[in-house]
Amino acid sequence: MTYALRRILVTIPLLLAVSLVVFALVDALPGDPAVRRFDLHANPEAVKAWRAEHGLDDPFLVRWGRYVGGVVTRFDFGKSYAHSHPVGEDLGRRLQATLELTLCALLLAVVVGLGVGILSAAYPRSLFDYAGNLLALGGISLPVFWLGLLLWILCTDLLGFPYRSGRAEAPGMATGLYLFESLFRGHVSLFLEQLRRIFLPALALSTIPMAVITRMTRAAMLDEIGKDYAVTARAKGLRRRRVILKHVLRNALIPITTITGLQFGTLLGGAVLTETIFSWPGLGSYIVEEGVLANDTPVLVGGILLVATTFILVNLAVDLLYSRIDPRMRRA
Amino acid sequence: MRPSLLALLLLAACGGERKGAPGEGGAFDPSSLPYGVPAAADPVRGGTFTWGRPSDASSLDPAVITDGESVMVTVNLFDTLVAYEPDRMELVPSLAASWEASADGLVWTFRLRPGVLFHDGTSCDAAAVVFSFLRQKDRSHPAHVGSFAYYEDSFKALERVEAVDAGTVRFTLAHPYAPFLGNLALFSAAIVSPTAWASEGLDAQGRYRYPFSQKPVGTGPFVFEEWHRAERIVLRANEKHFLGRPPLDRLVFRPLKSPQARLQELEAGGVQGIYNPDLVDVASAARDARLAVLSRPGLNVAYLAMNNGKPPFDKVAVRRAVALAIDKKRILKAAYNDLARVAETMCPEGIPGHLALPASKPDPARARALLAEAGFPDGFSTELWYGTATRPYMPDPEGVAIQVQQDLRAIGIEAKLKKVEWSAYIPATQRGDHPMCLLGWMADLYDADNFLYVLLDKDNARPGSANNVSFYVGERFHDLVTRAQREIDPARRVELYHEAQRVAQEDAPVVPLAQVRDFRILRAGIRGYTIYPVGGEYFRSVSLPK
Repeated sequence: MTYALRRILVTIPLLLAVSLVVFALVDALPGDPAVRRFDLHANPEAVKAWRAEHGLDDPFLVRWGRYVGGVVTRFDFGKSYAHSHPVGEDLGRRLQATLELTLCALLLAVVVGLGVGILSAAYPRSLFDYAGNLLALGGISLPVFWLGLLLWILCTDLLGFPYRSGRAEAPGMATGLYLFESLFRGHVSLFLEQLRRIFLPALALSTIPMAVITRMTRAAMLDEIGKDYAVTARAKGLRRRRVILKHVLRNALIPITTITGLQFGTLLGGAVLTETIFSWPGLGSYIVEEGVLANDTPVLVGGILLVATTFILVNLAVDLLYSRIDPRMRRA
Repeated sequence: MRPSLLALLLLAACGGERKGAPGEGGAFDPSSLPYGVPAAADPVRGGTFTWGRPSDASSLDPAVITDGESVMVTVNLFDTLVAYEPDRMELVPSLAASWEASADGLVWTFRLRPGVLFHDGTSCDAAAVVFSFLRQKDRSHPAHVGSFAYYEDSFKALERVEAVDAGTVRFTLAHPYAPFLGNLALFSAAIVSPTAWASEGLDAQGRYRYPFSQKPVGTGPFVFEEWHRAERIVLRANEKHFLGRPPLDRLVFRPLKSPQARLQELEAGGVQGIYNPDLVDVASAARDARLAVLSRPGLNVAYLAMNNGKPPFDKVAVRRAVALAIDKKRILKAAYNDLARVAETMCPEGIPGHLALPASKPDPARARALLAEAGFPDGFSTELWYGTATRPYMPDPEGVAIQVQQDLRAIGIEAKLKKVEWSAYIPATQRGDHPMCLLGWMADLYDADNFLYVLLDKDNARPGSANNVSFYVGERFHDLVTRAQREIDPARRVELYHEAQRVAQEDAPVVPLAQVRDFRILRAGIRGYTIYPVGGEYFRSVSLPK
């Protein structure tokens, strides 16, 4: 418990530091958001008034302090420069969309990655192992913007998959995780509609973590299979399948869990390309399209902070999960 | 697999520049495309029409917005006193049934159409019209929330607006201002519901609390239903619209960032029409039987400005030499996929007052002679500035800059290219830091004044806030365009603008380069849609295929 508490307390200064760095970096970017706002209609008076209204002429530390104060005390991430909408609200909705996509991609990656990894380790240097290796290599080296478009064309034009971009309209859903919530509530039509929309982006997004998990599973399993306890178990007459699934896999899960957790964090922030290609209204496209391209500082800072926070929290969760998987860690 | 998609794949794979061949399999002539599909005599009733466009709206308060993405939504939610008929672009009655102007052009009286209701059920009367203008004019008005850029630009002459009776409104101008009536058709002159504004009371600063920009209430053919930011804006048919209920049940606006995604979604049937397709895809889409490609010359101009305030461009002979050096047709090939037209004047074709000047031909020999005459027999060195952002009128600024640089080199002018970040570029050009720069303009208003006065008049050449980035000070030109502002007779106005364009061609402060076409692609069988040259996308008559 104290370990968990200590870990949580450490994240507070970490997040403050992250916010300072992000704020400073965004501040150093060239370009005046006020000019962006008015474009060719920008004139010095309008720009000056707009800068004053948004407190842009205050010293850097004052602006940072005001921002952090707002976030901590009122959970207020400011308002977008471009459309005056509260960033916090947008972040909440976008995060849920990204979370849904990420969870689906990770689910695909874990199921396929674990399966292929275990089988590859169980039958090393077999044809299956080589095929698995090749797939993993492909998954990690094909750029997602290319693979995404290829999948899109392949599935819709050649296979006739009825893909639609973006998310389904889902009135009456309490959360932003439409796919899971509709399944839970038994809304079959919404579930199917959302499934056909999420399948391709989730598949495209899953390739890299799938490859990583496959390789990691295979390596960790092979490492454990050769150890004394596994050999002993086999010598005692336990079936090979039982040894692999019950004993070896359990020990191999520790590094696999770490890597899966890290992949989850990466996916949350790294879905930018996938989200852009498939018009998925998530956090990544929010940061890039509405933040970076529109020079919208509050959007950019809020978005990056949220990604950083989730990354830190996921790492924390993974650390805490270790002790569940491996009792030795609890005692240590 | 279609060739366009194959090309897209290869290009995506190498991440290279797209240099498509629009005319593959024979020349493709965009001017042969229609600019609209007529409404059906017996349109299909019902259904949802989804419009794919690059970004989401920024706000739905018609008086505050400045971006096209917002305008194309609000014009379907609101009506204006007068409106442009889309084919001939003539002003026709809308919320106003009739109007008259005093002989001196200072007092305008409008009789409102009786019985028009806002979406909230209240009556659209003279008080609502007065409210809609006063909230923009009067800084202390409780509904004066935000900044009103279009009002500042287009209603400066408005001195007073008052309700004569419930069905009559009177506008009084400070001086005769010819574009006034046309400006009343602007999206920003929409009539809004005062009842909706007042429905949640006042805040501590004395402003209305009601979030009008998020929940707009007008009289238009569609009623606002919901807005999921960056996902969709949903409108439904206004059963009680004064022109009758529109054929569609629902109208949805979806942001789809990349042109490829928009086209894919259109092909898959996820959207029924798209805005701004990639020029590379236009020719292949025109051959696709499932789609209908529409095109109309856009009201825009891309130009090369020379800083007339700085030597050597203070000499008219030098400016004329530059104008003679530029091969515009080659620029269109290299940087516009050959889908734009050459611009010879700053007032684009399609705007009343546009002068069809004879096509200019590059003449390097004569240009060199002019340079020698101006005292530069060996040419000179200068800089050509361009901004990082692509704009509809300039999809490839660097490509244009390189072509201009080559043409200038041929007559001995060595122009160093300078690329400037867009938000630094605008103030720099407004200050006049540049010797030469590339810029463009899209029509805000359907009026020659919006191009000739804004971009070339000396009133707009004040360093720091100049829209006239050539800093051209032409007294004769100034006299002509300011007289045109006050001239009420349309025929006489056109003459003044024609003369002004001849003067501008003579003085050559800028080199007009290109006028870009607008493109839209619809699913085949959609009826009742027309490209408006300026001011939004109108879906009142649109119906789905049978």
